[in-house]
Amino acid sequence: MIVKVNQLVKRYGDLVAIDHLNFDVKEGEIFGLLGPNGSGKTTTINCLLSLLKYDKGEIELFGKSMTPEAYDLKRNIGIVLQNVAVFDELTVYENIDYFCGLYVSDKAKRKTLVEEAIDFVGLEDYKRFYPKKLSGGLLRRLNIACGIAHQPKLIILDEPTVAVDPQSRNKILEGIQELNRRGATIIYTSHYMEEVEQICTRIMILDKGRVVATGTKEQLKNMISVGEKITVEAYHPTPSQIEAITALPNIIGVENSGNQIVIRSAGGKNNLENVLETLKREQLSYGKIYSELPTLNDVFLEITGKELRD
Amino acid sequence: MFLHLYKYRIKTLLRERTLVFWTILFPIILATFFKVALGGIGQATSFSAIPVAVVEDVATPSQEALIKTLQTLSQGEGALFEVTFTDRAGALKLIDDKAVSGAIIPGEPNELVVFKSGLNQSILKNFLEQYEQSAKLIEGVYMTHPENIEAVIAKLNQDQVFLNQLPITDKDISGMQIYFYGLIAMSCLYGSLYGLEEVNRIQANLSPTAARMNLPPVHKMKLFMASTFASMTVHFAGLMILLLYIIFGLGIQFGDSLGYIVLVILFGSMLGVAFGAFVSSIFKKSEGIKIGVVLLVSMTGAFLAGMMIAETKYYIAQNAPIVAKLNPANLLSDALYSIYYYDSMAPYWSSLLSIMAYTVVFGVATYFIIRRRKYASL
Ligand SMILES: Nc1ncnc2c1ncn2[C@@H]1O[C@H](COP(=O)(O)OP(=O)(O)OP(=O)(O)O)[C@@H](O)[C@H]1O
Ligand SMILES: [Mg+2]
Repeated sequence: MIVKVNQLVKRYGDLVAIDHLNFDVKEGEIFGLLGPNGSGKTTTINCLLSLLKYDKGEIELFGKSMTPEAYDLKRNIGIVLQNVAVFDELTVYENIDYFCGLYVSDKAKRKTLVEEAIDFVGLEDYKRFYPKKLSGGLLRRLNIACGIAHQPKLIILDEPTVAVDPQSRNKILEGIQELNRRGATIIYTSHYMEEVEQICTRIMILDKGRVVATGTKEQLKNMISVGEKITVEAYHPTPSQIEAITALPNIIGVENSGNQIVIRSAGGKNNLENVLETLKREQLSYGKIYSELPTLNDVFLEITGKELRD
Repeated sequence: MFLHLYKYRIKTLLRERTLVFWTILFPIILATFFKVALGGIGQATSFSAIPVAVVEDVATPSQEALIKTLQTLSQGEGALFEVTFTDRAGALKLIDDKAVSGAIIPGEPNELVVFKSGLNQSILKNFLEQYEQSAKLIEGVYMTHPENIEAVIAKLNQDQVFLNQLPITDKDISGMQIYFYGLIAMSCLYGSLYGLEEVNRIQANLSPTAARMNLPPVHKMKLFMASTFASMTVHFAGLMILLLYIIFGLGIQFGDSLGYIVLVILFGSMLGVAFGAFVSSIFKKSEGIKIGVVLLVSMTGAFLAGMMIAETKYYIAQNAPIVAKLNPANLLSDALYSIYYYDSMAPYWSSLLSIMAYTVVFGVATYFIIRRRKYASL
């Protein structure tokens, strides 16, 4: 077990930011911490790192109790904090070298590590640039390189893709998967469900400091009743037409917004086919029609009664 | 590790334009401005004898000895005093009319009456204090070999034993130095800008980079010390440039004891850094407010130490001695002052000791605040 958190409680004054949190992360996982803004992701990470005092609970990393002085543990951890933390007066290369130097003293070894990190995040052309001259996406990549250059066993990334262009975002996500393939265990926090779905092997959904659900994305989706979501572009269907759809087997709910019908159905074989037949029979003309599997948003919605993204 | 941290911090500091400007360039510009603005003073007022009234109702040999000494020091070229003998009422009237800088009333103990504070007045005061130390010797000679008295006084004067803490007449005592002492003191205290940043860089609740600095397997104090040491190096180097510029570039005389001056600046720089670190660690306010606080303290301190109007220094020393003794800028200015104006090193060491005491207090307080490694809130 790389990370083990037991009954963690963290309060800021009267606010309970983390409420009896339990979870663990196994070697080789990409563990996703998904939750809306203010759900307690960063607080959890900062407690894990012994930056924050917490009110209750135990935290073990690599099987040992984590403290600010646990240097043997810290040596194996790489962190990319939510806020970009680099020095404006140092160039891209110097920043990475500086932070890497806090873990690796050997100069020759460090040089290789720094070069590798630069290649890894794709900043080869920007080595001599100062952070102020980098775009938001490139700056995030530098922030990541500073956290991982020493090739740690456990890498924690707190919303590394916030305010990043799609190109940089993909580069970052692919990079994280690559780090994982090379043997690192990853903890990844985000409030973007697509990202978490895309790369995480196991996901914990947080809301208001509590665990909403934990599991692989398949497990999470199986937890809810919705199995399929069918969207039909149709102009002003009559109530009887809607009724005919609602009467189909497996249907959980039908929403009509005037020019679009959203049909939620439980998992099953012929849902889309049934809907198509009904539309034909009812002579309802339609434009586009598509079927989707439920998303983590649907999971969040069904369990908490609100949207993941506000 | 230490070298890695030190090297990178030096690099960073040299690239921090605002910091370099305020702590190195700005004092140099100000020094140049002082020289231009005060340029006239040095040449116009070479030293002239201090007019002093002496009350002459002599009763005892020791009073006679003092009077004889004063007479001797008012003779010839480069006389220190211009003595007017009178009675008590006459002396007070002369002071009132501003015809003399002060009046000396020989007695047990000898008395000094002055109307306001200023350079002349402090010279008179110093003279009397120093006289007391050699009084026994002079009185002895006066009673046993009165014919030798002038030679003895002249000898003492020459050896600078008896006029120990007196300005020596061939020095430029226009008081121009006071401005530069104040300026150097202020520049030393500007070291607080470095100390402030050092704490901001290590306290995880003060900046994102500081949070990151708390994560590697390195002791926090080691990071802090290496970085602060780099700050001191850069600040001290800047002050040395300033000193060399003032002495050799602007031609201001600070005396020959360069080593002592450098020592004051070294400890002054440390005091500045420690002060800034302390201010930064005690409150979690914005960096802007902290910068405001340390600049305000440095500038006010330097002003009270006479950086803008030299007389302020004397005025505070006379009327608010506590403030003078507590004002770190004034302690620095005093230490520099005593190198040039006094021959005894006692006042120098006393000022330096107070400077060190301040540094230790700020340093220790900072240590106890920043040694904590977990935060209640970030
Ligand atoms: N220093 C603090 N003082 C008081 N309350 C805080 C502090 N930091 C966070 N909080 C509160 O604790 C809760 C959890 O915040 P946290 O930053 O951990 O959330 P998060 O999931 O990381 O959110 P985001 O997606 O916005 O980064 C929020 O309600 C937040 O307002
Ligand atoms: Mg957060």
